[in-house]
Amino acid sequence: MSVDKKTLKRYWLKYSQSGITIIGLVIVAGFIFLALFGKHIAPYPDHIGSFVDFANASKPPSLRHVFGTDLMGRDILSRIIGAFRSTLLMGVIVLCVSAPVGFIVGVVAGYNKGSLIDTILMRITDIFLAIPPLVLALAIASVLEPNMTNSMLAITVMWWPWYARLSYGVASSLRAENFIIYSQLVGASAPHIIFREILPVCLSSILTKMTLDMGYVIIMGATLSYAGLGEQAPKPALGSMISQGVKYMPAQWWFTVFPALTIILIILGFNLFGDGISGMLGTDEK
Amino acid sequence: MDDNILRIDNLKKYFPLKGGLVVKAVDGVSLRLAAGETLGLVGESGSGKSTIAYVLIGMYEATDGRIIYKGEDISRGGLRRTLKQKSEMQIVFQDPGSSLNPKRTIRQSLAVPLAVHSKNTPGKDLDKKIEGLLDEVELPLDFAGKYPSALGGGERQLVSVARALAANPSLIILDEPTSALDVSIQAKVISKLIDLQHEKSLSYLFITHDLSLMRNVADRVAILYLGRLCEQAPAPEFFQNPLHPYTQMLLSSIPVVTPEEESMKPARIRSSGEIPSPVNVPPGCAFHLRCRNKMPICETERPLMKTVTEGHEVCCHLDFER
Amino acid sequence: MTRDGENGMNDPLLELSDMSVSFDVYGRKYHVLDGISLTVRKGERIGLVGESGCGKTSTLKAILRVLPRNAVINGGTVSFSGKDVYKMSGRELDNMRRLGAGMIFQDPSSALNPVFTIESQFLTALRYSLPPNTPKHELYEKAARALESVMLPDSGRIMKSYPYQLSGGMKQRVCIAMTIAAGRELMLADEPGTSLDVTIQDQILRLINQLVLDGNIAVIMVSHSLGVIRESTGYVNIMYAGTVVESGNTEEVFKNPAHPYTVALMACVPKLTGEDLSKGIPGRVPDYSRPPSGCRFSSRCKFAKEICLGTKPPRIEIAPNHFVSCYFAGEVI
Repeated sequence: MSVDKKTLKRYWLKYSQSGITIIGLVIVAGFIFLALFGKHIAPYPDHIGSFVDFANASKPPSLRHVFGTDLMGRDILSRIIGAFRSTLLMGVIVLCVSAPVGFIVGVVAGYNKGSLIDTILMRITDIFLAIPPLVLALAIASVLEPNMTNSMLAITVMWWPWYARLSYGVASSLRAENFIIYSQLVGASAPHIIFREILPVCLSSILTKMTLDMGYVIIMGATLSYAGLGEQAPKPALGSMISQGVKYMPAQWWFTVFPALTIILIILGFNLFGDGISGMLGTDEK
Repeated sequence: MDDNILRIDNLKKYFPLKGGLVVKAVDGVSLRLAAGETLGLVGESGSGKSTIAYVLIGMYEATDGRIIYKGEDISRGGLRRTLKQKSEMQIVFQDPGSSLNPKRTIRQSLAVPLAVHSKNTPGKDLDKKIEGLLDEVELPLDFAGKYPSALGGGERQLVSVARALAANPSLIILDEPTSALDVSIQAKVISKLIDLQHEKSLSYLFITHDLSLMRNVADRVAILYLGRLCEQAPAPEFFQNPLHPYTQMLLSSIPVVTPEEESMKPARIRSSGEIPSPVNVPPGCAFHLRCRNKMPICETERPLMKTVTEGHEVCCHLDFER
Repeated sequence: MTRDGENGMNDPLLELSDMSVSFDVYGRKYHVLDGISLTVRKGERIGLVGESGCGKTSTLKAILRVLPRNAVINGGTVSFSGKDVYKMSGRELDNMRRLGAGMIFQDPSSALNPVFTIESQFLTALRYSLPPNTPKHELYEKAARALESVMLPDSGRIMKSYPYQLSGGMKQRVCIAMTIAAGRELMLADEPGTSLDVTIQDQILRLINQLVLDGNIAVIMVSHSLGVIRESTGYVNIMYAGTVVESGNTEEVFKNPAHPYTVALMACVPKLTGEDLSKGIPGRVPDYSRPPSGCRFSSRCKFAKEICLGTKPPRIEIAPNHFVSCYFAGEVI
């Protein structure tokens, strides 16, 4: 499949239909760039780890430290940038595991709609959906040792059912489409139908949901780390930075406000980006 | 010797509903189809014409009756047919938008029946076969790399025809293959279908609501109403001498474009009433509520199929002695 | 079918002159209507016929000024009862839509809201069209009378029904009744029988014919089917790729089609007499974003000469009231 210039231009026009999605693209691109190369770009790279400089502790924002410094005298801007990598990793890994798992469960159930397999798989999915997501994640993360891997595991466990629901809906409606019926009639195997016929059709809605979900996964990760269940000190995490700073509100407001604004900005960015992607992959009108 | 490749005997397909109601979608239909022949199966919505197609290809299991294909009874088992049986009977669906996977190229779509029915085809041969198929329906070879959205409705239907041919069938069920198309495109697809039939001596079961098309396409025409056959005759006889009151109403309702056609319509028959729900089929003759020749017997007794002249059968209580 | 000429002397109800419309899609301009002219007088039945994408529905939308947002009017005027539709104030436009021109659609099921009874939808629609203080029983009577005039005599039962309780044909009758109940003068019928069975379509077409005969309503009938147009209009416009290629009294046009497209299209219609079916019209509809500067049919026309490619052919009256936009009209056939 070759992508020529014209196709790319079409995609761009469709992505940028509402204009504001371009802001989303800029935020997301900036975020990913900083996550990858932040260690080299941050003004004080060594502040990202266990660095102590009590002489400069709790300084308000200034030209030297744009976002101020924390209790240990570390530059908050550098620590925010330093937290990006684990934040991005959290989103990518959680979605890359939960989307395929959810897809398989949903498609197998949807394709066999009305059978015992459908009932079993979708009831399990429903049970997961019925438990409030944060409670479930907190429970899992607190039973296990509090670290990054386990918090990702916890979020993944509560995330796949959404993809199962989505794929289930698409698969069960596709069952009535003639091209699926034809594949059955001609004697194609179930794996062929699931991966070659249904997956390509689902793909655009799954990808759209993944970009939109990125922001939510990040906020969920931040919530867990706020509760002390994510990345452990001295490594920086946006959630734990907020939770530690909150005690010093309002006097040392910069401890809290800048990480919080960063989270808001990232989530806004992924939301706008997701809107653009959904417009781009959406049905072609003309 | 039986030269019919397909025989349907007293086929019934009922769909049970909640509350003990039953939709009698097909209620005792008998048909036969000779090799190389086109049978036009015509009916309005709710007549059960598509249900017959779906039972034939095995999507639904028949409630009762028999389907004999080349001497083998295939009325049981639904999709559990042998690959050979599956390849022998192919279908082209009505909606060109849904019959091809929108996210797969034409090549990928055409490769499915080839891969299933001739396993272990090397890539080069596969490409050749796909080109051959496109050639057969006179589509440009570069269509292979395109997606269905880049094709017009008629071109997609021709791809569906090519896909059906890929399995090397003897019988193709055409389920309203052109009713979603414009007439100029329809004419193209129809003429291609007729050519292919002659080249490969295919049999067609042509299902449609468009009776006017049948004059050009079908060797024989059968009319369905509420899951039952009303009339069946060779096409020329059918159009010159329509006998069943429903056939006459149907013919007189067709909007035509020339005065010559106008004169072929049974005079002064106005369509009235609507087709009742198949849940609630009237007793006796299913058509008696709309029939202008209704007799007392029609309300109580279901008419039997009777032969009027050679090959011309009518299911009506009226007396058609010539 | 000459009755349509009888009222021909009065002023035109609707007049489109040289209407051109384009759509902007992702920065490209698609010229979907190119110089459409139509005149509708009281009591006339005007047909618009052509294949999908030829601009039939866009023409109706242009008349009601309900074109999508990305549409640009490149020229021409639409006037209703002598007033320019595109210069009307908001209130005048509302009045035209409520009292002047109404539309019925191909799919009657989607035209009615499934969760309200016919009564509530009908009375709401009427309330907008009639003076604001009209008492409810008067609205109800008007609705009941309209239902009777579309051959739905059991109006009480119909009014109490929800759309799903009615058949497709009945729903279409209800839609027609809602259009005529307020005394509209013009009905725009967009493929009114296409989604219905042929015996029901026949009934709907006869009903519309009867309504035109009885009252002072005029109809623009849009269809892809030449047969439908022949049996339900008195004057026909054959459309191809956003242009009217041929127009005239229906009987005359069907008897002596003169534009190569009309002739080719007629040959594609399957006939009861079993005449040989044509093998279709070769080629494709031109790209609307780069339409040919000459005749839009030229690329598919077997009679096309150099002149056809260069400049748009003029509209020639080849017989009384029979117009053809072709350089070789009457010669080639």
